[in-house]
Amino acid sequence: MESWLLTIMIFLPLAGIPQIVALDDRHAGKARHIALAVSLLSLAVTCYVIVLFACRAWGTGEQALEQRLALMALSDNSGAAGPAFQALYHVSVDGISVWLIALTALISPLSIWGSYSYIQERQKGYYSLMLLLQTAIMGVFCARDLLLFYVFFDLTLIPLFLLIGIWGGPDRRYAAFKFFIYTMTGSVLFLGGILYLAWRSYQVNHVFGFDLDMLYGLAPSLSAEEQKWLFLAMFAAFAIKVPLFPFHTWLPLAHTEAPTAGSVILAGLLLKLGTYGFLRFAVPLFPEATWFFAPLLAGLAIVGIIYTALVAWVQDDFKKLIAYSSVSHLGFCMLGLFSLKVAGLNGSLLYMVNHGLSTGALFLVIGMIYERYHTRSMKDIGGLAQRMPRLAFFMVFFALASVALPGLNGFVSEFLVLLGTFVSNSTYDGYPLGPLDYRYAVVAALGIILGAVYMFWWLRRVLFGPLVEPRNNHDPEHGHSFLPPDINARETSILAVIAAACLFLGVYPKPLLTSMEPALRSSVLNVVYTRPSAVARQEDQRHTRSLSEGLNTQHAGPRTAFTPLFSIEG
Amino acid sequence: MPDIEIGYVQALAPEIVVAAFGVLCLVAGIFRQRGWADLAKPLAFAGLLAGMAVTLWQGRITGHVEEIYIDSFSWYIRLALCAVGTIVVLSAWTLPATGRIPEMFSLMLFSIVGGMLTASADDLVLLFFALELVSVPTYAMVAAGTNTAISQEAGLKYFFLGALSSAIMVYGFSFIYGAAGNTRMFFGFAAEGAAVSRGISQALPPSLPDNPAAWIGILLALLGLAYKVSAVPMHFYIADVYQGAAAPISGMLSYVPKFAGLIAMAKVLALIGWPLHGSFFWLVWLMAAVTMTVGNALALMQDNVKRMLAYSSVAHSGYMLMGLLVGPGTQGGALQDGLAGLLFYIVAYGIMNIGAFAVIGYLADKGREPQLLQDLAGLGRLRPGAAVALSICVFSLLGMPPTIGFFGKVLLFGSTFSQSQALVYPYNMAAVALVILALLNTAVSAGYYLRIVGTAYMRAPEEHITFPRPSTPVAIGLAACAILVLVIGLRPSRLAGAAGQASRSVVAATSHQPLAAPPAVAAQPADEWDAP
Repeated sequence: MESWLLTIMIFLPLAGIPQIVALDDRHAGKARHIALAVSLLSLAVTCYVIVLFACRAWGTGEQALEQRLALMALSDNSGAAGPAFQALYHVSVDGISVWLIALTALISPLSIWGSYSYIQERQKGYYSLMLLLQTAIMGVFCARDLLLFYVFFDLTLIPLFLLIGIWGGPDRRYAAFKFFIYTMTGSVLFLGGILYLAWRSYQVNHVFGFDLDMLYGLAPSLSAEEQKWLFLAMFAAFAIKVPLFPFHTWLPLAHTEAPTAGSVILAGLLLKLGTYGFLRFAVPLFPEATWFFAPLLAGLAIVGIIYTALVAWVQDDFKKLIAYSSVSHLGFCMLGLFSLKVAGLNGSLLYMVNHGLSTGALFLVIGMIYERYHTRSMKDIGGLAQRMPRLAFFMVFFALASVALPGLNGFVSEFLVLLGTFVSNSTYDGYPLGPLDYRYAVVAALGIILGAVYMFWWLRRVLFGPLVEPRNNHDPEHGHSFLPPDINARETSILAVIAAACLFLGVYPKPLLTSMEPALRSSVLNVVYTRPSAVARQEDQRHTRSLSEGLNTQHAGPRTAFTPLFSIEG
Repeated sequence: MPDIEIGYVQALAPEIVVAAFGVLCLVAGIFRQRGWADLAKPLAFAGLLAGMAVTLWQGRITGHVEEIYIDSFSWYIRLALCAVGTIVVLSAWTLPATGRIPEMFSLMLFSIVGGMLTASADDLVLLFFALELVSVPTYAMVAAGTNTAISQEAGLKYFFLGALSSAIMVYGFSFIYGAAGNTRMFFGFAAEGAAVSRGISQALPPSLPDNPAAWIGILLALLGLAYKVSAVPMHFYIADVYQGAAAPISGMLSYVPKFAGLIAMAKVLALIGWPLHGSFFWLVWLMAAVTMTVGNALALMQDNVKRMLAYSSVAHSGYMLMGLLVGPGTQGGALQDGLAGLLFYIVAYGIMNIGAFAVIGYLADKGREPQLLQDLAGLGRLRPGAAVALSICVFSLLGMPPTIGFFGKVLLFGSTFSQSQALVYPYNMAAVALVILALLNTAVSAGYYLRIVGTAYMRAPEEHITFPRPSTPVAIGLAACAILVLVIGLRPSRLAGAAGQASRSVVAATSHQPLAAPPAVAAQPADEWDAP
């Protein structure tokens, strides 16, 4: 029964769809209650999954709650036992995916709750699509089979395409099309890579398999050239999804035109699919290529950080501002990922969770402003703190979390990322030298300053100063219901939940870090640093402890001159 | 499967049954004053079910009699044609061709009989006959599908160009006959006094360029067949014909003649054998590459939804020609068999395309079908069921998981990838390049497939358009398409396995050794026959 728990968790939201569809059109308003109830139920199941994970695999790099079923199997006529082509339904949870699953389970009901007053027409379709989207995202994070991952990965495109295209802003059709086609182009190249990888797996293991556990063992058989091409195929899909500069042009448009909950899920969850894809697939499957491309990707990340921060600074539409800030922050995430150090990877994964919370909350806040004023232009509104003090409090809170104020969650992840990048070219954590230079960190740190600049600029213009409101506000256009000037109890609760999570993670991130680190070590770092060319290089590197020594010591503290401010293992 | 002795009736039992039901439909048409005309529709449905039943009852036998060869390949084709044919019949239930309904359905059955015969044909003449049996009814169906002049124009264009392409094809067949001395393709027959009989596939010399007659023959045959498959450069008819024909008929056109054409192309290429070398490799490669690109490019430019689907049909032919390029592999494993991928994909494509055309067809308002894309606007709001079925079929055409179209593409592209590694340079690079081109074309095709879904859901309905409620058979057909797309997309093993067996059967046929002379009949003295 326990092995079915993950399947129940993934597909539970779908159970709400028939009930929503069966609603009479006069009672379409009930759709949101059904959707919220199902989503909260899914959250409860997810909490149970996390508890079980804690009992089973906490502190180890193992998977828990695994389930393997044959999805498609074809045999050939060679008479060999076992299928020649096999796509499995293989799901599990481990230290890397458990907190992303938790993030999904938390953000989905909050975004459904946040849409209560926003969506007034075609509600049945809207809430059905939200539930379908939740299932697809959960499936992506749980999948351990490459074809299954691809199925869920592409499945997220359809609901979001319809969400943006039907319930979005004025330019929604163009935004939805651009989002879908851009992302799909990357996906099909990813599919090409998957098929090639499956064929290589056939040559080695005599089965066209997509199972990750089998494919992880394939890396030594792939030549460096093959790994580079396959890494590029995966890069095509994930770099567009992250989004990494210069593949980010679909994001500002999609964010501004999407409805509020669509933006929240897009920024909070869907962008993490790209970074998770790099972490789970591209890096461990192709360690040689990772090493080769790491400086390039870190360079793109840095350019993205600085460039998109500057673009965010000059925006007038503040939803677009937060969209660009999203790109900028995920540049930090990618930088930490490719620093290939414990601190960097921890920071990167933690960044995914934190960014989901803070940026998701920022989009909710913007949605609340938009529902009242129907404008997102900084020229039209100002000094809102006088009118909406509670909203202003949360807005400043989440902006500070985004800017990495110490004490809030953003600080922990940003610091770890920068630490990882800075020490990448050392053996600080017991692993050999990483691919990056300290200069990457120096340039990235400038990005923090720029981040603070545009955030506070935005806060000052929108919240403080003289009160400026558009002339015909409080006018229920687009069917939006009349809302009180300051945020009501429902909206406050949503923001309070996320704020509490941000504060908790800022003060006590240890549970997440202790569960993430062993999985990151075993799944990612050990794979990268035991790749053949690294092992060959180990012999003639000075200032390096032996590789086995470094990898086996879980409690190896740093032996360098400075002591860390807080230790990760302790 | 060992060869068994079968007679004509046993070999052709499914075709006979379906053709008999076709004749019954005509009979129903004769008595239309008595009101029997509407009987034709359930008769056609029952006829196809009967054809399936007879095929299943016969099982996977292997045998041949004269110019007919029955094996797993023909088993698969018969079932595929009849099964998807039932969906065609359901979707055509509300054809607006008043006064000609029984004839339309009987023509449909005859065309499907021709398709089934293509699979069992072992003789060039029989192949030509079967292909004509597929095409000639469709000429009439296109012309008579609706009561408008545009149908008749489309039918006339289709007929003239089709006749031209048939002429090209049979001219090619004549060259092949001249080069090989025989019209039997795989199993020869003993002429009087001949020692050993060889089919064309053994008689053709291994290096084709040394034999200009055979070379020209195969080239012309492929060109003529490219018309049925709507491959470049014989694709120009397709937009006008699909636009002019009634939508369910267009759906059928995208399945039965295309299927027959692809089977015939597979047989023609099997005569020279895979892996293809030299000029024929490049010919098929170029045809595949240009067809998929031109199809997608032209579809992007369309505003008429039926023309858009017509050009998308061209693009899918391009993908399927990839399967013909690599053919069945030497090992014939799962994902190593281009021909199996092709056979799977054509069935998948038939289901999803017929579903899409069925939605357009039943939306005919007072006999006038939705033509422009914006005529579909508001479908999501007014007819959510039909819109969901249309979206599922369109996303399947695009290749989104977890639909049957996605798995078909996985099979086709994966097979091409893996089989390309068995080829020598430069063929392997060319095959890999073709796969990458196909992947990019898939992404490009999103540009127009999304417009269909987008218009259905994202635009407000126009005032004067009303969408009727689908009649029950049409609704069943739509539901069947949508459900099959999703169910087989999730559990494709059986269909893919059957396709694999069919492909291996073709390999077995092509590698068949020259036949010994047939055993003596009655009063022939034994010493007049030579042993092989």
